Amino acid sequence: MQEIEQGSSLTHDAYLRLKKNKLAMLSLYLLSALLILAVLTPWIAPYSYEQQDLELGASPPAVAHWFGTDVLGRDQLTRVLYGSRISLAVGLVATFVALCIGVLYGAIAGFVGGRVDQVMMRLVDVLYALPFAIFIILLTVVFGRSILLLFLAIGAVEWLTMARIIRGQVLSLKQQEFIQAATAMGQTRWQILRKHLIPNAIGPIVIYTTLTIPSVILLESFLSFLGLGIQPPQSSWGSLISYGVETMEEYPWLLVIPGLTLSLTLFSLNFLGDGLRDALDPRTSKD
Amino acid sequence: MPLLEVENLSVAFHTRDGISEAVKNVSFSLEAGKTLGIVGESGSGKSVTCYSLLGLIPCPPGKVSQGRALFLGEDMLAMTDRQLRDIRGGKISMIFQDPMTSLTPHLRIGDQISESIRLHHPGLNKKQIKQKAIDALQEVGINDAEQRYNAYPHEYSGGMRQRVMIAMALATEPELLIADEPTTALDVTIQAQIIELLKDIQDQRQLAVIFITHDLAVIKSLADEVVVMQKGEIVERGPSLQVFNTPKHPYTQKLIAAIPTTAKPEELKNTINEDETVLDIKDLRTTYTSTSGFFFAPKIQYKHAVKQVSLSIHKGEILGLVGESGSGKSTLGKSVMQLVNYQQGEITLNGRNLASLGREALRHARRDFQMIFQDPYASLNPRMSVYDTLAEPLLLHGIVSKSDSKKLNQHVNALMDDVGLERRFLRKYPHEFSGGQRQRIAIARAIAVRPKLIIADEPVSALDVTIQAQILTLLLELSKKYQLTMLFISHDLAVVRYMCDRVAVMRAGEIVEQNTTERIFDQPTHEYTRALLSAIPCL
Repeated sequence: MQEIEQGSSLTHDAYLRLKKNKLAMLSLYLLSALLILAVLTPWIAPYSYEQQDLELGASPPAVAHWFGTDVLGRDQLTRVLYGSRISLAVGLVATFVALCIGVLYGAIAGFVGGRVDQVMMRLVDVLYALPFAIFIILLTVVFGRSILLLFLAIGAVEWLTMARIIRGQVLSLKQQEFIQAATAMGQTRWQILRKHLIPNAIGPIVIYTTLTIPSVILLESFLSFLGLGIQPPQSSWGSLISYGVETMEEYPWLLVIPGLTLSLTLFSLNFLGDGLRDALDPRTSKD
Repeated sequence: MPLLEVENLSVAFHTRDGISEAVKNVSFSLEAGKTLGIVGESGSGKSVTCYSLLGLIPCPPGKVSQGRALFLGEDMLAMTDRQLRDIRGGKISMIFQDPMTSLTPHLRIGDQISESIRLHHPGLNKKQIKQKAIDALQEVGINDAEQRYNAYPHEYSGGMRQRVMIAMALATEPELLIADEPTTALDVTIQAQIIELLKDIQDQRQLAVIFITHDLAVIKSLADEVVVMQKGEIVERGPSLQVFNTPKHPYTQKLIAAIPTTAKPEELKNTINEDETVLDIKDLRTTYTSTSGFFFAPKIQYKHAVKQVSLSIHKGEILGLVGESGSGKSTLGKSVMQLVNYQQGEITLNGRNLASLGREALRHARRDFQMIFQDPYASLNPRMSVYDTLAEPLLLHGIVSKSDSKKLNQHVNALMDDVGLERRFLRKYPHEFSGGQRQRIAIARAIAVRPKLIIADEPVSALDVTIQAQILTLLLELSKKYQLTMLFISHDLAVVRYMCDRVAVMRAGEIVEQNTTERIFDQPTHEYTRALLSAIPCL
């Protein structure tokens, strides 16, 4: 009698593969560190985010202020830390919302097909056609200004493209024999969607997600610039950068430091995304 | 002097996993007007050999590492790209396997032929070129060539397109024709016509032909000389009749033995219970509708794939469903599987009318009938390990509960034993397996729930002949072991003869003849059955 073999799951195999990708793992650690810092900010920040030192004014990085201070003498490190709370939250939550809605919506439209698909996709077209700024202003007028609204508004815009991408993927996957095989086996449509269609569309999903997060972070700064997002003395990476741009010639560190933080985050996200896509595809070799 | 002389040709592919030698030390020669057959299974290097002569292998990763290929006294392997381009499609022409994809869809047939004529006869004027193209079409047996000249490829059938490909290949008056599996994608009756055509043309033109194929029977009737390739090497060569009648190399012997030529061996026969009908189909009609046009005013077109078919299968029986492409045999299988909607008729499985079941009830009833698909490369989810693939139906139909992982492991391992795969493969993913192994996985998945009926839709047509023989034997063994009832759909009569107890012949959506396998093969009554049988090339 041979030894009884156990199975292994795709997620477990994917984790093993991901672990071998050094760049992706480094990015994962970096992102985790950033997240932890963002969560702990109220306790570890050296100053309060609204504490001004008008006598000091803008000063370059020094021992007392590692990242320097801004024109109002506020500690830049503290502001970057508080900014990461807003930016990461917007980036991750809004993208997650967009991802969930987009993947489900697109997959259902593609899988059910026919008139359902036509109606669903026309709705997407209509939403695409709405001017984004007016949409947000409308929302602010009705519900008042809040961070939650910001998430909602950005998520509500970003899922549209995701839905289209997924629908296209599902349409082509649907023709494959393994989907018929799953139907013939007696699986419910929901099971087929969840176990067979979406996992096979994971490549474009991951890629598009890593592209969405930075665009969401930048969108937030655009909205804040219009006065629809967060307001000073609160800060976000986007608002710090746009402020830094104005004073770039006199106080370069006000641009360089938040700029570097943002780029580092985006690089990490891209490397992690690439790593994840490869890891989740069993066709890339295990060793 | 021979027309083509290849000496010690070696081709290697440099990949990430190291160097793989696709062709090793291959030598052969071909006289004008003769036919050389190159036989081998997939991956044997038979196509690479010919492609490398014409500089058609992707390079890198491919590289001709040594050898000479003298064509009319000149070494083709030492030629520049420019010189080779003049030879390709000039002195040497090629025909490819798939006539469906090798013609440009948006150009008229006539224009495509004219184009290759123009390239190689720059002196001719438009009228002369058109006349030459029409002559070429007539030569390959296309009637009313002048009207067909202006047709587009999609208006031609598969066989017609392959004729056009041959016409294009001949239009430039080549001295050597390389035909790479030119009949593999065609129906058996069409295949016979194309082979006849090739023979005629060769006689008239004194053309030399290299015929690459995996099908021994086809090559026997065509080739003067045969080389058998295995893993990049020539293992046997000689005059065609000698190789087939007295094969010396064990691999050649194995290839020839793998072709099913007999009826089902006694020991693999199942006991058939004539009183118990598992599947009963009455007056089935399946029509495909395609809608085009605007959302609110769709135009609907109908295509009758299956018309008025009645069939029944007894317990333990294997019923063969034979027909050419487009005969509706796959649609019939999918109708039974409830994968396509049928408009009329009753499909009764074990006394239950499947159409009367609601969606939920049908889902549960699917445990009783499972399907094995044609293409093992497409029928397995690439992102599920073998274990998950096999565990899925067991969990779905509640044969094992998810919490009882020990029992699940046992079941899955037993399935691997059943289909002759090593248990340690369970953790692998479909892409790590060969076609034959994948089909074994697909079979294991189908029998996992112990269905009462299995529908096998061309389960071996995508496989090499030696693998095909193994899979057929496996299916017979399993059907005996588990008393399976099977609807076996195939275009290959030899396979059907080996597998089935009873055969139904299908043509244009209707069953024209139905009888025991013996009767069908010995005393076919319908003319279409006779035509099919006579078209099979035999060893």
